Amino acid sequence: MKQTVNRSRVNLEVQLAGLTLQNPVMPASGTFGFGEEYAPLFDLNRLGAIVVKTITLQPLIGNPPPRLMETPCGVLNSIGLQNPGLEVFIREKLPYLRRFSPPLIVNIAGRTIDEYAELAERLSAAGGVAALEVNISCPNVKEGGIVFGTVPDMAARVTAAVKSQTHLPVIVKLTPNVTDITAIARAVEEAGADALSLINTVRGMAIDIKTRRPALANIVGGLSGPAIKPVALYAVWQVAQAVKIPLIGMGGIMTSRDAVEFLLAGATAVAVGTAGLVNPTAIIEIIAGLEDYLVEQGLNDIRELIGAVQI
Amino acid sequence: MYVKGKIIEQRKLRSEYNILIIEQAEIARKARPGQFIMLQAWERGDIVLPRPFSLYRILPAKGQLHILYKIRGKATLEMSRRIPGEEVKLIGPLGNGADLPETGNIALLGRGIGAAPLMAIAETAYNRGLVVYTFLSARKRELIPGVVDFTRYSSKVVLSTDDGEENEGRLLTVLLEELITKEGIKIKTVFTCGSKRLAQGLLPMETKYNFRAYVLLEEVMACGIGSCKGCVCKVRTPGTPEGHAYKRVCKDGPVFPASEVIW
Ligand SMILES: Cc1cc2nc3c(=O)[nH]c(=O)nc-3n(C[C@H](O)[C@H](O)[C@H](O)COP(=O)(O)OP(=O)(O)OC[C@H]3O[C@@H](n4cnc5c(N)ncnc54)[C@H](O)[C@@H]3O)c2cc1C
Ligand SMILES: Cc1cc2nc3c(=O)[nH]c(=O)nc-3n(C[C@H](O)[C@H](O)[C@H](O)COP(=O)(O)O)c2cc1C
Ligand code: FES
Repeated sequence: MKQTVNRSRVNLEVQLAGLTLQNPVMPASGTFGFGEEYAPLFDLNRLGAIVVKTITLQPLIGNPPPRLMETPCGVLNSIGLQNPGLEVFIREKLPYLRRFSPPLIVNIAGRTIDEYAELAERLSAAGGVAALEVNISCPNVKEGGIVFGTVPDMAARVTAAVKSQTHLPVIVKLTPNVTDITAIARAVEEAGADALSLINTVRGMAIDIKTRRPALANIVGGLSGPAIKPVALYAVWQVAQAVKIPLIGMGGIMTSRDAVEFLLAGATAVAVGTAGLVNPTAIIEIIAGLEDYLVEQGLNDIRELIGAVQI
Repeated sequence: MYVKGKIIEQRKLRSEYNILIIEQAEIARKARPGQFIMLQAWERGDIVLPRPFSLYRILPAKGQLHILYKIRGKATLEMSRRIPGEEVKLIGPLGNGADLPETGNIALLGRGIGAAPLMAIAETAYNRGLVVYTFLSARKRELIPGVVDFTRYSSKVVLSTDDGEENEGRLLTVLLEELITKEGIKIKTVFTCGSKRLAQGLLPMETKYNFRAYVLLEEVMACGIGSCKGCVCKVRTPGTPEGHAYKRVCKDGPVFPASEVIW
């Protein structure tokens, strides 16, 4: 029988890899920049965590345009990790980000294992960073990126290298563009990862039939949004069975109902990407919607949902 | 600002363009010419992203925004089905907008639907006492929008159509050159939109006739607020290893000095 639950007593707090998140909802890396553009639209202190765009050691100018294309229920992008580089991030972006209370998760990508290690070392020393998210799954750069995410041994070596250089929790972000995502997940867990986030975008392409050229200058892009939700949800469910470390689920979460599905499938937290491009306040609506769902279901604690799908 | 707006009117023009009039007082109060909005005027899940539209007219006194649009694909088709009284969602005003000179003459060069943002520039410039010369082109006469309104705000409106009916279809840059050389009119600033060829044609004229040319660019957008880096254009950037950078049309633009853009 359902209990009556008082809204003010509903608990949304979760623990993830040693971090305390006031709620399990955070932006997905790369769709939220460094937070600056969203700060005028809502209070960033309401987020479960802040996750910034991938940082590389050297600045990256990114891929030539066009970089975006809408496809039915989805978005194809090939930004190419355009970012100002580690130094500028530490000097110009970090001081701003330190003002906010939710844990700051910095996403990193290297061209070599050494670059991942150096990024980890310098960010750990910078202060104000709560955790590292290791991007071994970007489909849009030629060097590094996804290569590290598709071979279990490589994924494990990147993870170990990052772990050896930091005291911070290490979250490894996985790509769905593999035959068996659980093999990568297990390899990364064994190498010491504290949590996993999944999924990054699904590789795809589109062709403009008027010009007969690929719609994206980079030819291939990463698909995100509602189109990939079933793929992402299944990946989360599979990986949840395969590892013990907590998961951050993402891929096509547009509403709180979608977020609930990911929690039920085994995610401890969720990230919202494309939805925030559609509606800049989507993430806040999702947090509120989770609370409503708990009240509606007569539950006191969001943790009761994690992995609670009934098979 | 992410807000709701109400449709006041859906005006079908004779050509393939429509004008959508939206009541949104806050954006109308804040917006400057050359800025744009991200619009969502549909409830269809398969259309994921909002779409960018220039402000054709900004009417702060009435709290209205006018959008001149062309039906291109599914989102603009949905837009054309909206009726007065219905609600839409908007993000805006967005982008840097057009910086008008304090005094002097400006010229506007627009191709087809590219005339849309030029109307707001013409109106504002006219209200500030600047003298406006407008040059518009399209395939045929009926595809040149807003001629009556442009005429109200401009000292002169020059048309050119590919079918030769207007000015034998001559290039707008050539017609601008004639205004400068034959009529002795000094132009301080030029804004152009809707054609890469027009923007490129202005480049050699800048130093020759001592004006500054600005181009209003379009790229496919996702966030519209500068966060995703999806809408970039290539811009000359001395001092960088590459000599160029990718700038965001939504945040760093949509108005760029024409000489900075690498096509
Ligand atoms: C800053 C800015 C201001 C704009 N102002 C106006 C305006 O005032 N009036 C107007 O009619 N249109 C304007 N556009 C273009 C408008 O956004 C597109 O026409 C619209 O997004 C098409 O959506 P759709 O779903 O109907 O077409 P889709 O199905 O998405 O595409 C149909 C065709 O339009 C092209 N297209 C799609 N998006 C864009 C885009 N953003 N820019 C250029 N071409 C595109 C596609 O390549 C395709 O060939 C503007 C674009 C930008 C970036
Ligand atoms: C425009 C855009 C840029 C992205 N940039 C990054 C990035 O820099 N690093 C990263 O790890 N993931 C990046 N992603 C992937 C997202 O973080 C997320 O994994 C993916 O989009 C799936 O979630 P969604 O469907 O909610 O968007 C990007 C996605 C988009 C749409
Ligand atoms: S559309 Fe996202 S940065 Fe311009």
